[in-house]
Amino acid sequence: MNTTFTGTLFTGETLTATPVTLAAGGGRLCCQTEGVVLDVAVAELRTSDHLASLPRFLYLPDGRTIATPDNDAIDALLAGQGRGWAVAAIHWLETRARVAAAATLLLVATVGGALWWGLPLLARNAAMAVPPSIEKQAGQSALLAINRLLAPTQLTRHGKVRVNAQLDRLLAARPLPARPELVFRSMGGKFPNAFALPGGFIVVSDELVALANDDELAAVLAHEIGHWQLRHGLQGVLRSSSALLVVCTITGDLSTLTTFAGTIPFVLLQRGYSREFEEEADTYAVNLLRKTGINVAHFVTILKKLEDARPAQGQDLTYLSTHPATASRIQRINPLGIALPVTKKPDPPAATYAALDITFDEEVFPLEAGPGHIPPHSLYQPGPLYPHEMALAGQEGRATVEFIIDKNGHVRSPRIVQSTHKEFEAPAVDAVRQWRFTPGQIKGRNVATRASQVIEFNLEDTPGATAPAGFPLARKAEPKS
Amino acid sequence: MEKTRESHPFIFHGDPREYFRIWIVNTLLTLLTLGIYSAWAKVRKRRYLRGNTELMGHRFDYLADPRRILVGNILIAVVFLTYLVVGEVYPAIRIGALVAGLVLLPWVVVRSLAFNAHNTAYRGMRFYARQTYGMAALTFIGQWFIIIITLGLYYPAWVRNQKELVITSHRLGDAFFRFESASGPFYSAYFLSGLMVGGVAMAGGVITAMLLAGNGGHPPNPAQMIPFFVLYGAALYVSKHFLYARLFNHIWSHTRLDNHRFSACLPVGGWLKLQLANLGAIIVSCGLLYPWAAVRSTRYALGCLRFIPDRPIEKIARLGRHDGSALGETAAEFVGLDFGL
Repeated sequence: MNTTFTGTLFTGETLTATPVTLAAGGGRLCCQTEGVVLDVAVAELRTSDHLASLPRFLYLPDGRTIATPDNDAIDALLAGQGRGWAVAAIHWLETRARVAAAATLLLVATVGGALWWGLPLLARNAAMAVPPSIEKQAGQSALLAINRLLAPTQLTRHGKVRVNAQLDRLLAARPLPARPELVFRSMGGKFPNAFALPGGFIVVSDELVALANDDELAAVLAHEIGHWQLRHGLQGVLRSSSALLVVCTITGDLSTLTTFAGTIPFVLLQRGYSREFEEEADTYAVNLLRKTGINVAHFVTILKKLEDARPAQGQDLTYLSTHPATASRIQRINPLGIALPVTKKPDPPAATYAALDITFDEEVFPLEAGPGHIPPHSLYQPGPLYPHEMALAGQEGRATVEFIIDKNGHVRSPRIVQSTHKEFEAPAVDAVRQWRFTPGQIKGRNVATRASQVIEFNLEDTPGATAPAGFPLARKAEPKS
Repeated sequence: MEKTRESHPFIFHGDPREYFRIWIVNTLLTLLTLGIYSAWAKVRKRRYLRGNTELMGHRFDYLADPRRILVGNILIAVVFLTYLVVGEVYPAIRIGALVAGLVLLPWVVVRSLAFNAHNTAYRGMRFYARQTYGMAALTFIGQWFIIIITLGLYYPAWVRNQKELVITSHRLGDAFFRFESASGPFYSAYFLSGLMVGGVAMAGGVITAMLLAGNGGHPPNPAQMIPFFVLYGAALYVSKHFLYARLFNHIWSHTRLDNHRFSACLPVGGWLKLQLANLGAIIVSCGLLYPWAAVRSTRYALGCLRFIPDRPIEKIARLGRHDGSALGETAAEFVGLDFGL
């Protein structure tokens, strides 16, 4: 079989280009142009690969090169030798629009799949490989961040003992390598919440302790222990930073994790764990509760209570904002709908400000009642608790509280006269209610005194810290008739 | 000698759709073979761009052997992993490796240039890049000290010296590349692009101050800063391509091949418009339209480049034998250096 095709011959000695006509046959390639000597075995010929419609180059053993646009002739030449089938296959793939479309889909699917399934898997393996010492460090760095976000607890010793007792109850049923450390924080009186940090730190908000009964507290603790044991906090950090994940996986150097762990509390408060993590922790909690002999229905009741405690609008920082889809979780936790035996006495009605403030019917004197009057003097003035959601929003303000200092120096009937934000009113009243004074005196006799105070909410002050005792009482308060 | 010199255009025949098909198939094959195919993919992609470039009736050719690039890839992966593992056990090694890497950098650059040149051919003749390690070390590392001493004022001159080193080390047969330019135009180009970035940075400062005032002295949260970051990123991108167009024109117009000349007149405005459109397409398509953008950029830039021969170029003749290994070039790509001229 003989084929002829045209091309250009380059000698490699100079840039001279000579048009040539070539003939292939019998395994040899010959030149049919006058004055050009060329006769070479096709087996000794190297060719450039078939790529799009680029001209082909034939590289002769003597250093000369032939360029030809006739791709078909070269393909036939190589096919006769049984060469070039792999390249031909790739060329075939590259020239088909449908292949390109399929490749695009496959590429997107592969990359997407790697991100969707591969990344979490890597994150899990890396998180599980973190040694306890580093995990503890990560937790401590997260705790530091917590201190910036949440106020100190106002729980009594009794409240703390109550929660610890529930933890002991769970640990007795299933001992852990290390006892989780309970960290109590206040969340501005509104947000019942609990979350687990790496290293076994479980943050419990005062509001949750107030909301939950003992069995319910155990249920929440079991859920949080699940988050810790399954290392969801670390996995979350690793997932969110793929670069960190790659470094951790390849080098096994996990100390960088501690640097990133500071973001855990913030992420947890804002977005919470993924649904998948919640379900894992729920499963863990249900198993632990069964082992401890606690009815899983308590878990359901606390979830419902938490659902009811969610503020209707505004920034939602409750337990449930970080734990989505309560109904479906309840279905998973208690599929048979086991109910609690109705033996519990109903909870006492929640104390309201109105209930606490019995009317004050003694004679009340103004702050400056004239000669012979010794005004009250402050003994103990704790500062207000900074509302958590306002601190997050960077919102400052003030509230003016009017109150009566009774004959014993206690604060009675505090009420808001004026405020910049509604959120500041309750903390201001709560703070004032705790204040203690030496009572005002007229002619050596203790009397009740009316006073008012502007409570400033400044972010520069450490939120919730106790103000130095005895800051001067506002003198500009006018007597009320 | 002829009075009027004829000028010849560089013609680029690449087609965005065609290149997209090649790119997507080769990228997928690379992914499916866990990176092993990347060497072949790279050769095919580069050959498409070179092979579609025509000058005076003939195409350029890219002849690199993928197997050598693969060997280079494997070697670099081994060195990198060894560094990671050993560095984990003896952390002191890391600093030593950093110094070694710095010393090796000029070698990597020189090898990569040589490999690239050797595997580029025109009319059956390969280009050649001289491997002058000492000069490269002096230029790429030695002049850093001058930059430090002059507080960065020397930087544009340093860029010029790099270009000079790269260009003058190349030859085609017995025709040597030369670079005849002072540092002045480099300074003006860098000054203008610096002005652009500086202006936006100042505007950003004003915005930040306004946000600060609006927030009552509290630092603005990251969400409020997003418009500024977008603006700043866009300014960096625009100034980068402004710089590219200015330097492209200047460098090519002052490059000689013996006495043959080049002329380049890449319109800065048109180039910026093209690059902004490319950026938009790449972002919207999550990177899938990168090959489309690459072909458009190449076509636009080459369309503005012309070759002005001084005498018949057929006279250019071979000069000795030469060879190069893929190693240097792969190292350069691995550490993210790109030396496309």
